[in-house]
Formats: sequence, C-alpha cells, structure tokens
Amino acid sequence: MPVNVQRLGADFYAFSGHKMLGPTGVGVLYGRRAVLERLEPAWGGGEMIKEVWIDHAQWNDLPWRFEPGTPPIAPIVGLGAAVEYLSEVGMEAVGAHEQALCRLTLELLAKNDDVIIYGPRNPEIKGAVVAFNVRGLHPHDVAHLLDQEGIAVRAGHHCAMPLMRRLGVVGTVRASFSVHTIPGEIEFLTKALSNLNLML
Amino acid sequence: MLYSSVISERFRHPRFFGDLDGADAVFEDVNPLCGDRVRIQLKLANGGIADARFKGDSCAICMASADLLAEMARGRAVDEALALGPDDLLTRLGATIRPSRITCVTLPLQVLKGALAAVGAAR
Repeated sequence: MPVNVQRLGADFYAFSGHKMLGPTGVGVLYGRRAVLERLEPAWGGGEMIKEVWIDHAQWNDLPWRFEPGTPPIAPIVGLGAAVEYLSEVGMEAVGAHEQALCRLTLELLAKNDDVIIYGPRNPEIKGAVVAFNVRGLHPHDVAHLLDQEGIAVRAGHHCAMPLMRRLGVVGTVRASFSVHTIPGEIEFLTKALSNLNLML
Repeated sequence: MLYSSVISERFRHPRFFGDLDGADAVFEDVNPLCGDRVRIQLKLANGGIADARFKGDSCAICMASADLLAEMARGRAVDEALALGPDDLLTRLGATIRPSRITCVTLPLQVLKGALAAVGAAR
C-alpha cells in the first residue's frame, strides 16, 4: 500500500525494515518537523549535541538530535536498498499483486472443509496475510507439516493472545505473501493442506 | 510420518487423557511461546504416584509427551518421578525434536513437578 505521510497528516509514522524486504533490527520513525522541533531528545550520545559546556549543552539540528551514538550502518544501508527496490517496483503494483494472491488463497482455502479461515474475506480490506486453522490439528503441527513440504508459515498467537481467546483457539496458522510469491505457490500450499491429516 | 509413530499414535489415541476423580494433586501450566496448555492430575499413595491423568490443549508433540509422562509416572515413587527428565521422554518419543519445539516435550515435566510441589510432595 502506498503511504504518503504528509497527506495522512501523521505526527509520527513507524515501520520496520524486516517487514518490507529489509534487514532485521532496523526501522524508521517518521516525525513531523513541527512536532520534532518541540521534542527533547530521549537519549544522549555522539552526534546529538552541537556544543557542550560544563553545565549545559545545545542539541544538534534535526534529525541528528534523535540519532545518538553509532548507528547500525549496515542494516540501514540494507533498508535503503529495500526501499529503492520497492519504489522501483511501485507500491501500487506491490499492493495489487498481494491482493490478487490474497484473493486466490481465500478462494482455494474455502474449498477445503477442514480449513477454518479467520478475518475479513474481502481481499480489498486485508493485508497480504491469511490466518487459518486445520480442524483437529494444532497450528504448530500444521506449520511443521508444511515446513516438511518446503512451505514457511507462521503459527501461534501472533502477539495477540486476547484475540485468540476471543476466537476460542490456541493460535492460528498464518500464510503471508510478498512481491516474490507466485500463484503457483498458493496452489502448492492449498494442495499440501488437503493432504495434511494423512501425514500426522 | 511427520514426527514418529509413537507421537502420531499417542496424539490420536492418548491412553491417559482425562480427569481423575478425587485427585490429590492438580497443576496446570502454559507455554507462553506457543500456547500449549497442559494440566496433570495425580493420585498419591505411600510416597508414590498411584495414578495420573492429563488434559491439554496442545500440539501433537506435547500431547504425546504428556501421555507418556503420565504412563511413566504411574507406580513410581515421588523421588523417582521427579528424576524423570527430557531425555527419558525423548527416548520414548523416538523422534528428533528440533530446539524450537523442545519446550513442547518439557512442558509436561514442568507441570508434573508443579503438581508434586503444590502438595508438598516434592522436596
């Protein structure tokens, strides 16, 4: 989904690198200039000061004021490469691709009576993830079984235990897609799921 | 075969799943990482475990581990039961369990120890 922070009028906007093809341990916190100018730095360190006296200091300009110490240079360069790549592909195109995969997944999974799908069925209001369970199987067993087939999914409570309680499940399996995912892989996933009960 | 024939069999047809009327010790715990939940009920007599049952909302590995542990604990002196460790279960489970799933094997052990501790049977 293309995001325009100015049009959103957001004071702050955060995102993490590893969720957009970038390295782990790096992310971005956008702050509107007017808001950042009113903020005191939370951390001290190299590059966040302009001048220091024995009893006071003058903070550096934006954005250095909020970037103290030695940054994780390699991950930041990696994230930059990811941003460049995605900008080249175009986030509109990324969104359309993922939505088509999401639609296909929902369609194919709905044909399997043993699969319970969670969340909205309308791909237009969904991200590129589909959460589901297989009747009679624990999500972690499903993930393990799929892993044996070469399919990587996430299983568990997805940092949302109260939601799992509300749904009355211990967890769910979650398939997610990216720019590299192709429709054939979705068919591979749904085919593997239809054979699962025989495997355990 | 995904894990092992023992795990499949014990998951599909656990022998010690259920409640124990008049249990002397009951304990339940969860694995916060994966949401596995195991409850163990024990009947104690003459310094030993006369009977054991488990209940759980958990994966196949954890279910099989709990079922085996209930079987292995029955008839054992408390001290012997407390000495049971992951290796005893892994040998019987007959599967290679990867490190990320090892807590599925050990949760029942933790619950058994908790049950014995709760009634002061564990020293």
